[in-house]
Amino acid sequence: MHLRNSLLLIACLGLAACARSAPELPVDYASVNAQSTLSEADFEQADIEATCNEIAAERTEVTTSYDTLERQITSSREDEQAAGYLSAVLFPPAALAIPQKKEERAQLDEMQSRLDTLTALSRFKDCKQASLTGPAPEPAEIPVGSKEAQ
Amino acid sequence: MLTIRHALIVGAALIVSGCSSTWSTSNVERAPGAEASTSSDSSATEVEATDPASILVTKDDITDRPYRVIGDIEVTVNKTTLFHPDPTPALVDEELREEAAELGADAVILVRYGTVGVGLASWGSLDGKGRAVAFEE
Repeated sequence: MHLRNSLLLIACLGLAACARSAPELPVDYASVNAQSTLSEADFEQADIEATCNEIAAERTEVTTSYDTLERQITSSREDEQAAGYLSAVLFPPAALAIPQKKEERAQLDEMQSRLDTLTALSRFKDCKQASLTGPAPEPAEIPVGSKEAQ
Repeated sequence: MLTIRHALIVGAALIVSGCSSTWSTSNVERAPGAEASTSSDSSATEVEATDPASILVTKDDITDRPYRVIGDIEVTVNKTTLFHPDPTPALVDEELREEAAELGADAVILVRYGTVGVGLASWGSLDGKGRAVAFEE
C-alpha cells in the first residue's frame, strides 16, 4: 500500500513538472577539423538573400524572445511545484491539471534551432561578429632600421 | 514496517548529504581524430588540462579565431533533495568548464540549456550542452 502511494506520488510530481533536455548541438562546420562544410543548399532562399545586418537583427530578436519565454517558464515553476506537492498529498489526480507548458517548451526548441541556423548563415556569409575572445594579440614590434621595417 | 524504515534511512541520508546542494553527471563525446590518448600509446601527446577559470563559455560561435573541436560535452546538474534550490545555468556553466578543462579546451561554444524540472534521479534537474574547442595558433 505504501509502495503504491509512493509510486502514485512520484508519478504525479513527475507529470507536474518534467525537465526539458537541452537541444542537440548543431553539426560542426566551422572548426579546422570539421567533417562537413556549409553550402547554399543548407539554407532557405530567403535566408540566403538576407544581409548581415538583417541576420544580426533577427538573432537579437530571437534571443530576446527566447530569454523572455525561458524566464516565464522558470518563474512559474515554483508555483507549479507547490501545487504538485499539495495535490500529491491531498488529491493526486489534481496534478494532471497543472499546466505542462509543452507548447512553450517546443517553442524554445524551435527558437534554438533558428538561432543555430542564423549562426551558420552568419558564418556562411562571412558576417563580422563582435569578438568574444578579446582583441587580437599585438604584432611584434619591428626594430627601426631592420629589413622588415624598410 | 521495513519499507518505512528504509524510507527513513534514505531520507536521513539525503538530508545528511544536504551539505552539497547539487550533484552532477556528465558525458563527453570526442570529435573524430580527437580521441583520448592512453599511457600505453607513446606516440600520442598527453592532454594538458587547462585552468577552468580561464575557459570561455558562450552561447555563440567564435568567428574571429580558428579553433579545433575536441568534443561535445553534456552535463546534468541535479539538486540533492526536494528542499534545495533549483540548479541554475551558472552551475551548468561551471560543470561545462570543469569538463572542458580536463579535455585541455580553451572555450566551450554554442552552449544551450534545458529547462529545470523533475528528472529521473532528482526533484530538480537542469542539463546543458556545449562544444569544447581549443584555439589554433
